[in-house]
Amino acid sequence: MARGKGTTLYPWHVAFLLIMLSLAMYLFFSLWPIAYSIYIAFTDANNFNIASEPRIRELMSQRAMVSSYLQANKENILKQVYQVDTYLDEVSSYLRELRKIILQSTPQNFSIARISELRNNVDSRLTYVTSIISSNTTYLYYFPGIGGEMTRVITIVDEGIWGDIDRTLGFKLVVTQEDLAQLRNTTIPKIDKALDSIQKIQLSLKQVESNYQSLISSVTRGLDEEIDRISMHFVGLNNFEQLFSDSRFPYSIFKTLLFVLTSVPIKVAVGVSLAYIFSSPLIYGRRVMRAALLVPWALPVLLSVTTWRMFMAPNMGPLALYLNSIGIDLNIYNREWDAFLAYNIVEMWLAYPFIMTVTMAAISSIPKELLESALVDGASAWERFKQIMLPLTARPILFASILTAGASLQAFMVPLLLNNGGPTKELQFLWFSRTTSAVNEMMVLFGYNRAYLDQQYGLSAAAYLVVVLILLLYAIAWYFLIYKRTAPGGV
Amino acid sequence: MSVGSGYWIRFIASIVLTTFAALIVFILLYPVFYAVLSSLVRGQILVTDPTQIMRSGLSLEHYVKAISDPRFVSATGLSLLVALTNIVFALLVITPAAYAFSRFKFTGRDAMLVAYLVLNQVGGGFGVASVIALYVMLLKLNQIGIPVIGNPVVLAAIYTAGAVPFQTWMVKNYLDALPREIDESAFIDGAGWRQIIFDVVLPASKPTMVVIALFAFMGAWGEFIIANFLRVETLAAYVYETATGQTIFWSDFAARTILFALPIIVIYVFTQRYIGEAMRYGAGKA
Repeated sequence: MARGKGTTLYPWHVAFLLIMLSLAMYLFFSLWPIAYSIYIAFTDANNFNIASEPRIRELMSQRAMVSSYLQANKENILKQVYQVDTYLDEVSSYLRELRKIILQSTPQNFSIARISELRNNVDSRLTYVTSIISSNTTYLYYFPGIGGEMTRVITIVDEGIWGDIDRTLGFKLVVTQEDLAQLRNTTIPKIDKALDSIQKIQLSLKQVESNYQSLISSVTRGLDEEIDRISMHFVGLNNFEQLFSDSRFPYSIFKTLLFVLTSVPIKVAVGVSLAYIFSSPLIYGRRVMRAALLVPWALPVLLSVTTWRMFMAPNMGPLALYLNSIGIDLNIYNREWDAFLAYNIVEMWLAYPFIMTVTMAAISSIPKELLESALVDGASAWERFKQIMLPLTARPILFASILTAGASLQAFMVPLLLNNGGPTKELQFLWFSRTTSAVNEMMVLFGYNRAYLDQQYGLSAAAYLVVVLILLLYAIAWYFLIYKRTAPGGV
Repeated sequence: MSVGSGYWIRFIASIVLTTFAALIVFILLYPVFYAVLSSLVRGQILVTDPTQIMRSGLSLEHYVKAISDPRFVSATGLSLLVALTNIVFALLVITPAAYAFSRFKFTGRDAMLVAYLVLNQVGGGFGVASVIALYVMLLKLNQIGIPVIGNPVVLAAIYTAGAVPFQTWMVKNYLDALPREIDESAFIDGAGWRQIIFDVVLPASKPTMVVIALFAFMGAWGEFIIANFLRVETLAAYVYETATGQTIFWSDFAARTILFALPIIVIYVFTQRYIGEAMRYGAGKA
C-alpha cells in the first residue's frame, strides 16, 4: 500500500521536471567539458588553432576569391606573362651585348656611353618585369621559380654587375687594360649567372603559359598552408607519447603519490592528537580553544596559503628568518624538498580541522557509561585510551583519512599559491629522458600549467585524462571500500 | 591517598595541560596573527616579530589604501554581482532537485545520487580538468558572437553547476529530516503540485535555502581560477593576481586579502554547524 501511495503521490515525471534544470546545468558546465576534453586530448589543440574558425573562414573565402579571379582573368594575365617574357628577352640580349663589350673591347674602343645606355635599358625593363610579377593582378610572384629567381636577378644585376662597373671604372675618363681585365674576371661570371636565372624564369613562364592551372594551385598553396597551420588536427596518441617521453609528467605523478604518502599521516596524526588533547576535561576553556582551532576552516584558501607563503618566504618571512637564526636555511623558492616540506605543513594546517572534528564527534559518541565503568574497574587513563577510545574511534578516523587522501591526491591550490610547483630544475626520473621542469608540479597543477602557461590544450587534456583516470580509480575504491560498507542503504 | 592530594594533582595537571593547549593554539594560529599584524603595521616594513609593531605603531593605512584602490572597489562590486547571481541560480536549481531526490522514487535516482557522491569526492581535480575544456568551449562560443568570456552571469552559472552534486546532497539530507506527512496531508486535502511546492515545501525548507545561499555565496566569493580564465575580475581574481607579482608589498597585500576574507569569515560563523555536517556527508555519514 505504501508503495502504491508513493508512486501516485510522487509521479516520476514531476520528479524529472524538478531535477531537469540542475541536471542540465551540471551536464553542460561540468560533464560535457570533460567529454570534450577527452576529444581534444587526441588533437594538437593550442592557442593558434583552438578558436580559429573565423580566421579559417576568412582565409577560405580569400582563397576562393583568388582562384576565381585567376580563372576569370586568364586572358589578361597570360598577356602579361608574354609581356614579361618579351622584356626578359630584351634584358638577355642587352646583357649579352654587355658581355661582348667587356670581352672584346680594347681601352681604345671601349664605350662608356653605350654601357650606360645598356644599363638604362636593362634597369627599365627589369622595373617593368618586377612590377608585373609582384603585382596583385597577376600573382606571378607566388609561382615557384619566378619570385625568388627574380629577386636574385635584381640583386646580381644591381649590386653585382653595376656595382663592379662602378667600382672599377668610377669617374675615370680613360679605361686602362687592367680595368678591363678586372671586369672580365669579376663581372663576366655574374652576367652569366644573371642570364642563367633569367632563362629559368622564362622556363617557369613557359610552364604558366602551357598549364595555367598550375599558377592557380601555386597561389592557393600559401593560403592552404596558413589554413593548415591554424586548424586543429587529430594526432592520435601523440600527446600521450609526448607526456611519457620525458621525466616531467611521470615525475609529477610520482610527486603527487609521494605527497599523499607523506601528508596524510601528518594531517591525521595532528588532527587526531588535537582532538584527544582538547577533549580532556582537564583543560580550562577547551570549548573556546576548540572553536579557535577551527579558524583554518573559516579562511578562504587564497588568504591562508598566501599567508603561509608570506610566513615562509626566504629572507623575509618570520619562520624562514627564525630558522636562519638557528642555522637552518629554509628556501621554499629554490629548494625542491624545502618546498615539498612546506606543502606538507600547509596541507596539514588546512586539513587538521576536518580530522579533528570527525575524531571529536567519534569521541563524544563513546557512551559515558563505558568509560565510567572502566574507571570503576580501575583502568588507568592510558588503558582507557587504548582499550576503549582508540578502537571506537578508529573507523571514523580511517574514513576521514581516506577522504583527506583524496584531497592530497588533488593537491592544486597549495602548490599553485606557494610557489607554482617550483623550483625549476634539471630532472631525470627512472628511465625517462632528462628535461627541465618545475619539480613540484603536482599532477592537477601540471595539467593546469600546460593549459594556462603553455597554452598546449591538447597536451593538457591528455594529462588530465590520465589524472582523471587515477582520480576515478580512487573514487571507485572509496565508494566500494568505504561508502558501501559504512552507509548500508544510505542512498 | 587523601582526597586533598588528588585534588591538587588534578589542579596542577590541569594548569600544565591548559598552558600546553594554549601554546598549541597560539602556534597553530600564529600565521593568521602574523597576517593581521602585517596588515596593521605602519609603513612598508617586514614584520618579523611582534615587538616590532610596538616601535612602528599601529595604523589602518593599508586598509585605507586597499579600499581607495578603484580596481579593488570595482572587483568587489563584480564579486557581489557574481555571488548574488550564483545564489539565485543555486536556489532555483538546487531546491527543486533536492526535493525530488528526497521525496520521489524514479528510475536512475539512486544511480544519480551515487554518481553525484563519487564525483563530489574528486570534484577538485575534475573541476580544474573541466575548466580547461570549458574555457576552450567558451572561446568557441565567444568567437561566434555569444559574449561568454568576461560575462559575470556565465561565471555564476558555472559556479552553480559545479556545486550541484554537493549542494543537492546537502539539501536532500535536510529535506529527508522534514516529515513527509506535511506534504502528503496537503496532497490528500486536494492541493495541487504547485500549491504543495509553494505553500508547503518551500516555507518548510526555508532554513535549507539559507544554507544554500550561504554556501553559494562562499563558493562564488572565494573562487578565482575559473574567474581568472573567464577574465572576470572578481575580488578573488584580483587578490590572486596581486599575489603572483614579482615584488609584493606584504602589508598592502595582507590588508587586501583580509578584507577579501572578511565576508567568508562572517558567514562561516553562521554556517559553522552546517560545515562539519556537510563535510561528513562526503564521508558516508561516518
